[in-house]
Amino acid sequence: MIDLVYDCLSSVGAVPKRRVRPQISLTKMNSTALPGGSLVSLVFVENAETPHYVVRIPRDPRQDERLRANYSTLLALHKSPELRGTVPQPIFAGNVKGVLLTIETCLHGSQMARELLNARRENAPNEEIRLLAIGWEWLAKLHRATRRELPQDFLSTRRALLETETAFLQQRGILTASEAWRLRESVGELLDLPLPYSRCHADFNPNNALRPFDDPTGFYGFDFEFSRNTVSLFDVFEWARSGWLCLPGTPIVSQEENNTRLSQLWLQTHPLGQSFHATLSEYASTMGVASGDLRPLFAGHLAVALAAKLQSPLGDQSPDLPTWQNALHYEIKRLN
Amino acid sequence: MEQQTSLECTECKRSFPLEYGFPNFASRPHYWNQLTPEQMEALLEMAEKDGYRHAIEKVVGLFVDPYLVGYILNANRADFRTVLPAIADRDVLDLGSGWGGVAAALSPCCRSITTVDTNPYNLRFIQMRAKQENIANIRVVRNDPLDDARLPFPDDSFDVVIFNGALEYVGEASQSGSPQEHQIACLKEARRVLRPGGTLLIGIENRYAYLYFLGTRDHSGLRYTSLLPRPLASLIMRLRTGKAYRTYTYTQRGYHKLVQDAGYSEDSLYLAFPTYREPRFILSGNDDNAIIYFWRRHATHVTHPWRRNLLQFIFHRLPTAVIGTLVRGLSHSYIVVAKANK
Repeated sequence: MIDLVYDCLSSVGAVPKRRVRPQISLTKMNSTALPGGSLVSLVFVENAETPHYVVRIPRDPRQDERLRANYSTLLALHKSPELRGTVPQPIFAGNVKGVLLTIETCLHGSQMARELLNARRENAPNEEIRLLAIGWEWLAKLHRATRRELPQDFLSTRRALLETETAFLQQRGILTASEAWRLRESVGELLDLPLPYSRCHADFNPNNALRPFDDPTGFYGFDFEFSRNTVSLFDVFEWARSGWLCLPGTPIVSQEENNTRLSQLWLQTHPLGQSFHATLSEYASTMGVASGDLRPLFAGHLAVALAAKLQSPLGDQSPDLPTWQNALHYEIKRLN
Repeated sequence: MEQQTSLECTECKRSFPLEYGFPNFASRPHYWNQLTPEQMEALLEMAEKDGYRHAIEKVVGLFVDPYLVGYILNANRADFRTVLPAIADRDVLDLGSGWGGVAAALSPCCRSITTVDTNPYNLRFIQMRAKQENIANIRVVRNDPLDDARLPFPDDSFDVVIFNGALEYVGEASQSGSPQEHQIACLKEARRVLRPGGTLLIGIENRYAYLYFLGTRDHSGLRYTSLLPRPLASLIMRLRTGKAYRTYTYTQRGYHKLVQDAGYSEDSLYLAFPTYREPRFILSGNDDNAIIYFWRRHATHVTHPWRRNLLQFIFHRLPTAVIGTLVRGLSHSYIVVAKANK
């Protein structure tokens, strides 16, 4: 692999072509073992203290869609002046000796998941909210830069997905027939509105985000392997779910309804709620509704996320499942 | 059409039976598996009827450690290929293939993969898995233990030979001779079937892995045996189990010498975390800066505050060379890659 990487890097002038090859070492990083994933390695050049590049190859060469999605998204985002510098720079993509390989620059910063967890451990909710707000701001830039028309067949696909996933949850005994119906009806009404549609990260969670070491208000997004064109709110909700609800801390749902992470998210008097609503209002205004009216879509998002978790290998053994079921029930109860 | 029932060697004219569709070159009985033959029969029956994945998920966890389910089925078993040269148009030999996890994961990435094992049940399972997954480039061969250093292939047949969790057991099936001699002979035999410039990959434990100091059991089934001088380990083994200590692992220098003695060159050492079996992280063993970068990053994820602080202190304060030496010397798993001299 190292020879391949060197050939690619030297072909684009990223490392000098010499008779004696500069020292290059690869560190293979952890990546999902689920089908369609990539092998991701960091490239260290000439004994540098930090890696310069990230190399990706598909784990199974027959399933390279995610690799292609990542690279094409990086190319697209790099054209946006607002986003350039906040995402890795695409360096190389090509088939070398029968291996599809992509190279992008390596961003350096503190992992957002770590920052959020530290803030939570240190009981610093304002810092937590600030970090989440930075993520939402970055998302707004991403969605503005890549906004496009909603395709004609998109809504029917969305409806079909919601049908399938709620039916699955019903079959697994997680939703009752009336809960599934209520969810489909509430979400279905919103699907008739002009939903904001753009290029989305589609796996936007604190593990795929960094805060630059030298800029407390900066933000880096990476790992666009799931990236696709979809409803922009997908990313916004996913960031709330993974960054606010998923990390350990205050219970997501409990008997004291006003002091849970779910209620705080939607409470306009809570600092986090304010930040979340401020983000949502930009999207809601294009649909001609208030930010709070989007809540059923969040319930739909939770349902789809829960179904996806259950369908993944060993996903039904996850210890978090009861919490997520409670959260979904809580949200469905609130639907009119 | 009459089905072929045996293979005949064109040179020595010996005949070898085809059992369950794969050639059997084994001349003596040998059985190694986590499951008993009876359990394997039950598993194979279910795999035939309901699919191999279903059988593994339902049967293996019942009989042995549920960890084995992921170990057999996960697609990340061959992630070590990041340290191999490009293998898209190459032929691979997987020695001691076990359940075929490596072969299944590697098969889409290479031209062909030949799996060799002594256990016919495992080989039947691999064959069934390949059929159910429509994998056409896996070839299954039953052979004697690797101690015998006899591979039923002509010279220069493969581009890559893999020993993933196999070399440490070479020597265990024999009662005479030093295990090290068996291992060298086996590596030489692997070199014979490698094409000129072909690649050897060994995934194996470090003899002085930090976990062994903490009391993790060695391949012998006992604690601390890999840390002891071989004769002493053997004496303890004989007293405790009635068998000699024959599952040899080595230090980084030991592996370097082993592959050099077997006629390989340009060997590189990689550190695999948490193990070479399912390597989530693989680091180049000769890049101290990469090692430090990795561990500093890793230390920030440690949950316990005092452990995190201790690790951060170590990886920020100690000199780079010291950390590199310590990490290399105490890592649990190594991946050794070397080039065959012809």
